[in-house]
Amino acid sequence: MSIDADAVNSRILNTDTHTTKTRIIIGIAEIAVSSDTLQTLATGSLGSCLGIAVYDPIVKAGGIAHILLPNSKTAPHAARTNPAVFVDTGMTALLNAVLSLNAQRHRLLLYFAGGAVIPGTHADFNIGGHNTDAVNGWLRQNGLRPQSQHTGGIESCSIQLRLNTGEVRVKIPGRESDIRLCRGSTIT
Amino acid sequence: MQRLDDYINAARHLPPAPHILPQLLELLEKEDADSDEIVELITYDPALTFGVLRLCNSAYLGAALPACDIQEAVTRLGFKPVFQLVAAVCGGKTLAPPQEGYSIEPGELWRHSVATAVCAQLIAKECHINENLAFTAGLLHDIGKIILSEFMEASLPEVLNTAKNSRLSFPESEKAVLGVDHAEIGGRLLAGWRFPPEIIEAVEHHHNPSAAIEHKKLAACICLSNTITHCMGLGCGLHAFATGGQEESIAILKTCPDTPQTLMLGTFRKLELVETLFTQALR
Repeated sequence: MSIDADAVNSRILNTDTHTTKTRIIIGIAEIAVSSDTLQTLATGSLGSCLGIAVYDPIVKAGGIAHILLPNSKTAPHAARTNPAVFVDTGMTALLNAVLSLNAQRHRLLLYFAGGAVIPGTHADFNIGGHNTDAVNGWLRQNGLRPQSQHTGGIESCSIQLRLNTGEVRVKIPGRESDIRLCRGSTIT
Repeated sequence: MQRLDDYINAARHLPPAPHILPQLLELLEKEDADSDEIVELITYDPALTFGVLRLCNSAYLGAALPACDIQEAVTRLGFKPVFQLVAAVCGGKTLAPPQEGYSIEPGELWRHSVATAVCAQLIAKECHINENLAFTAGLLHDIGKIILSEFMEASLPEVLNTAKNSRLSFPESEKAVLGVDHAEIGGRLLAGWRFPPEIIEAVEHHHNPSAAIEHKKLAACICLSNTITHCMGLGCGLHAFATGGQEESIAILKTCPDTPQTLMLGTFRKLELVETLFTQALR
């Protein structure tokens, strides 16, 4: 598949160089990566989408992709300009972007959340389930394993990654406390 | 019916009525629609004219030369897009405020409503449903939440518990606790504002389209659009995933060839429009 590099770069934000903000919100089909330890990366509400976080604790670099759909084969033209729409192309783009910040593949810690499911619906509408299956399949194929995940359910959530510690939290509206996928480390 | 009116009459914060929308829809549906009449109706409201021209000249629509008046906007864009801009400007005032009773943040209901309108238009195109009616019904489908929000402030925990314990959808649980649901209230409110019967019925039955009597297809179109926007994370409020009616909507719209994934992608691609309308409405 040929990739439109300029269009792709406009959807992948390296927040080290682009902003002085400390909280970066990642919209649908966007990727943000950073090694600025003052920053927290966070998705908006995910619904059936997935928020996938990766982090290298040694160089304290990480990123999040906010992914809409399971497979780029359904619309390859859309993946060419916007890889983070799909699990397969989005994962490749996310890992490449984080590795470009001196992260090492063997050190990457991986977490994901989202994939909410509408109860009792037609199989076509189980997009959350398809997304979760797709990311698990992609990780297996590429010899990677998630540290932890919070997927499914009927509640929309969001995921956030703090770059100074690698702490990963899942927020669910209406719940008093967050779900912690990773406590993070303050060791420097 | 009396119970619906009781809630509407008891509400302390009635949303402003978008009076121009039913009048415009009526004009647009006439075979011999007179453009002067339509332009005059919009121009009558200076704030609306200003809002529509600002959107019309925004970067999204990419006008090389800005339109100076509504007539020029209509000539350049056509009636359908201008109608949608009018609907967006009117709807923004009504739908942007927070609705604490449903834990809906400022702008959240508005963003969900515009995305639903955009998706409804995509389905309408495929299923030979009137696109203006689908867009407007999508935009206004949750308007009943504005009325019910203040009553929900005390009842939300009970509604959520009922949904969880009795395995009911959110609207069913609303009805069990309050005696009415937001879809019925919305339909009744729009009837009072003299919206066309298609829109009233589609809003009233956007969680149970097979209960609609004459306009099942439009109700099913709104039900599916609502689901798609929830899947995209553009939902609103707590427990927004616990809706119903998807199976029956697919059965009613059997002519719709698009899969949910295609609809999500199509709506995503129009999100820029959603974002433009969303931002302008909050100004």
